Amino acid sequence: MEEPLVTSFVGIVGLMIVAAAVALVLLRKIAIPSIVLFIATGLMLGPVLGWIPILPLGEHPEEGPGATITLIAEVGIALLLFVVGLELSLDRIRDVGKVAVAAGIGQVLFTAAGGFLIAILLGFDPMASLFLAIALTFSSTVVVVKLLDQKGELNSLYGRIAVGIFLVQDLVAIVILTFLVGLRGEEVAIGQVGWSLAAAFAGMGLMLAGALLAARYLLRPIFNWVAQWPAAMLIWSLCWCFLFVAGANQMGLSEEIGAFLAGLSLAQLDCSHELRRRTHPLMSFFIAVFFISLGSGMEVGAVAEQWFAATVFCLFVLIGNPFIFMFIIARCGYSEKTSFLTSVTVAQISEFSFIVIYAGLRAGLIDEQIVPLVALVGLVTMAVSSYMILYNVPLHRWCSRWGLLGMFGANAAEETEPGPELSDHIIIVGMNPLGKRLARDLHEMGEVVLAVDTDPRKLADLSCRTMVGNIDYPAMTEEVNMAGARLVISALQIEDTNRMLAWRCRNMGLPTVIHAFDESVVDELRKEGVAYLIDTRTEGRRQLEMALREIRASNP
Amino acid sequence: MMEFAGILLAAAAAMGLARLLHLPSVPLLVLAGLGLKLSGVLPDELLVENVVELGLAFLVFILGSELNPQRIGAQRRAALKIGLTQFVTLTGIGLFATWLLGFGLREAAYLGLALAASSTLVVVTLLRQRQQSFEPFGRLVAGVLLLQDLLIIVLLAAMSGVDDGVSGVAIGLASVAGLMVLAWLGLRWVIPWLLVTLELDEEGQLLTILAVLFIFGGLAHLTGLHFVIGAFLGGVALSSFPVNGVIRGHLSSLSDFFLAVFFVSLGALLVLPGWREVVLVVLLAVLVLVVTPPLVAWIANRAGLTGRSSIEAGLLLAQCSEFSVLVALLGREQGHLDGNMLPVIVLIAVVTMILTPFIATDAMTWRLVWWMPSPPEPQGAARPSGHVLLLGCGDNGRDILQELVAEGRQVVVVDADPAVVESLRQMYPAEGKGATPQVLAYRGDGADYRMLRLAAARSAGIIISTMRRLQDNERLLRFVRDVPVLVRVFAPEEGKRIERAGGRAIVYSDAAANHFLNWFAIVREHMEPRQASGQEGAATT
Repeated sequence: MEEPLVTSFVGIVGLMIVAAAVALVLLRKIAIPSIVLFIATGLMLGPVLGWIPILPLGEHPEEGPGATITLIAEVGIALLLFVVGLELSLDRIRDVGKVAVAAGIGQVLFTAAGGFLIAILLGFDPMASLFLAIALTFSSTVVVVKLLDQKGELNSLYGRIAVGIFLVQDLVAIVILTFLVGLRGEEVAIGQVGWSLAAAFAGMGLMLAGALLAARYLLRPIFNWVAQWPAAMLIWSLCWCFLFVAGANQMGLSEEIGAFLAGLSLAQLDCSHELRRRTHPLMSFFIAVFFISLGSGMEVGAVAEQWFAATVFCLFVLIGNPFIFMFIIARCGYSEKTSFLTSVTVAQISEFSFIVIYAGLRAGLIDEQIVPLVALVGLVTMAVSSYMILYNVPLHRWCSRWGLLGMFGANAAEETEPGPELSDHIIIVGMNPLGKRLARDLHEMGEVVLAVDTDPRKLADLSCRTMVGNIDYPAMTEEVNMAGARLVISALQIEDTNRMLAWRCRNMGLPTVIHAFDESVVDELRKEGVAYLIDTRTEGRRQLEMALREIRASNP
Repeated sequence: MMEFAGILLAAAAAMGLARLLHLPSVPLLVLAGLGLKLSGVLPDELLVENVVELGLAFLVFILGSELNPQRIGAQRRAALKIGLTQFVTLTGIGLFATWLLGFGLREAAYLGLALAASSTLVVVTLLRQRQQSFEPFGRLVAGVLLLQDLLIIVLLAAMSGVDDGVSGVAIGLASVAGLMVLAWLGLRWVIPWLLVTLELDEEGQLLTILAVLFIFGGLAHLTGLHFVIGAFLGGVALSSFPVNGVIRGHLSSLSDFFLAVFFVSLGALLVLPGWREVVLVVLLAVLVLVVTPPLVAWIANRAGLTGRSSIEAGLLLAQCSEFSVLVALLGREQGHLDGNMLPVIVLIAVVTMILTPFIATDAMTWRLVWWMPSPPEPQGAARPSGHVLLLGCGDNGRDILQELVAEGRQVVVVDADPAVVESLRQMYPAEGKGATPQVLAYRGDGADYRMLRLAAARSAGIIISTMRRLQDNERLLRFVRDVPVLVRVFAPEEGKRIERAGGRAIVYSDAAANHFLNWFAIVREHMEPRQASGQEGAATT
């Protein structure tokens, strides 16, 4: 094989990022889901052009640049699930527990059976059919969660059901992986498989208990203290996350579950939103590397003669899977729309499928030609289902117009969800004495005031609405509903942040009031069209002169 | 994964400790990494090397993106003077000292270069914490740091070709100049288009930002420079407004993360130094700590800064830079430095950085201000009475002074800064010999009773204090009883304490808030609800 163009670690990561960014900028007009773009970029860089070394799916290289890149990809997945955990709170996950268990387990059984049957009919031997069926069963948590996050719908009802289902599937996956380990060594006794299963579930219980106890007693005081320093808060929460990941790893659980539980245990804190905003860019970088390296590992060249089987499997995953789901979820009493939106999310196979296939290959249970087949099915279903999820609402409209959904007998009435309610409010950033004073007075004047600061302790004694966060973050602009505000005030004494805030507001056509704490910042703030500059120095001096005059008048 | 969790755990411990002990986090992170290595938790050399490589690229990239010449404002000339003098002097002394100790010229050059610059990370963080970035000396210091960082990058580019003699150095310099031109072109045209005009989504923007890093890094690599030099200039290409604001939201958590893992991994790369190295560390660290403050203060004072500001600048700049680590890593990679020198340089940086917050304190500054030579006391002035006594004459004090002089009042000023006193005397000279000037300026401490007696505080008509420290003002209020005292404070809580002590507090934040609320009460009537129209027209002051 030819030597790839770059072999150093930084070189490979760099090339991945640059290629993805170039593709993203060039193709921005046609709205390709970024996941598809990343996988395609990886496919181009790796198997097609041979610019970077191929990192086979499901392999764990021990050394060389591949080891660190695999680590980055794993960190990306963990961070993604951590963010998901932060987004959802325990109560919100609990209310979808029943449907998640029913749908998760029901679907695994049906899809596995259906997949096995199809594979046998297509002429695969029973062992290969078994592995294919398992590979087809699991849908990709990473793909779906990433898309839901991108759409901002993780917290919607269907988003929560989907996340619940993936958690259940993850547990089922652990069971299956344990059995696969059992299949490999012939002399392993059933008792031993049972033992390791019990250990895995005990570990799960242990971690869940740990997360719950920590959320209740430990994390709040710790994070209230550390939240004063955003950098320290970020590192502490990441440390918490990866302690859980490492713990899950040690107990034979999936790292995703560890990260998710860690996120969940932090979700109740005041600073959880800020944490999510801060972790998000980090996650985006790592997860991009994950998807690109996923694409670069897909060797689909030798699949031509299997096109028929590939097509059948793709159709089965893309249509059959949602079909089964639709049926189960509608039975649980959810509306037609929610059932449909949830079902669409499972129409792809998972990166876990590749791991299963490689495990089978290494154990000598299946032959090599299965690998490109599964890779192709993965590529197609991930790409198509990304579009299905991104355009799920129009798809639902289309399906119901053609009367395709009536047969499931779901509830036609939609569940109502609470919408955003802040509007025509005044945002005040920076709770120093000046900011606090303004927040109190404007609140008393009857304005809807939203006070923002990075330090939760500074917000504690205010009676108006408050939000912990750094206004520098673009996501924050949406969460405070800046576009719907009537006035934005900054009492901060941070030059760069004030200027950026003024610039953002001007682009939105919003009037701003900025604290001009020093003469040297006045000019550039005026250029940004600030409506009113709070000039502490001049006003203070005026007050002082007034006092002087008063004193002089009283004793001439 | 376990190693990664280990690195994060060490980082978390170091950062928590830094907060508890009020120390900068960088040196503690390095020490935590060293601890990790010594305890044997981190055997994976490869991971550590990779993390150091990527982390360093991110670190200098972010430092580059925060270079903002606009921030320096009017202090350009002074910054240039101080930056160059400090850089050249310390490099020279460092080079000479290490050469005397028997090192080769090339090694000595690296060591000298490692001493030359001060730490942007430490100084900018401190300035931000103390809210001094926009004070004249804060801008001056920012300018000095910018200049030094640029100098280091250029010199490192030159050093990368040093093995090929003069032509190699020339090629290195030409490549770095070419990349600078490219960065400037990007800054002006390409990058604002990419990051502002295109309106990509969050993920797209982030990837574009990172692509800039890797493109510049890659170009540097192709032209024979080190990847990291390119990464720095890539950051510079992102440093203009509003791009720097757009990227701050994306990069600040990446920067926090990589900063932490980089310094921990760096610590894990170190080997414990022998006694000879320890002596060298102590010697060079002392050199930095002893030479920098007086040198910088002297030039700053001559450039027209007040005594207090000059000394503060000197104390703040007395440490080695994160760029010293860059110098050491690059020197090691090119085989110019042997492995023992990396810990030496890193430890010098660690030691000096840890000491900075203890040295650059308000108390230390004032103690040193008293050592500055006083201008001679005014002669033959009559003992004033019924005058306005102004304690502290910084920016705010000077505003008031002008008003008072315009009203024709007799003013006595007490300020601790000799430069302030000197300039007041020049501005308001006595008319004729033996006459009392309208503004009588004393150098002294407004909380010192001897000084207050000299300034005839008890017989003053009014006393105005702009002294920052609350305790000083309370001391003043204990000394004078029957004279009205106006005290400038910023927060309402401080105001309450002053009122309790018998003074009259002028709360600046309240004054500003009142004015704004009056404005708002008028404008409010004309404001339409936001949903009705996108535009808002109430932009009158």
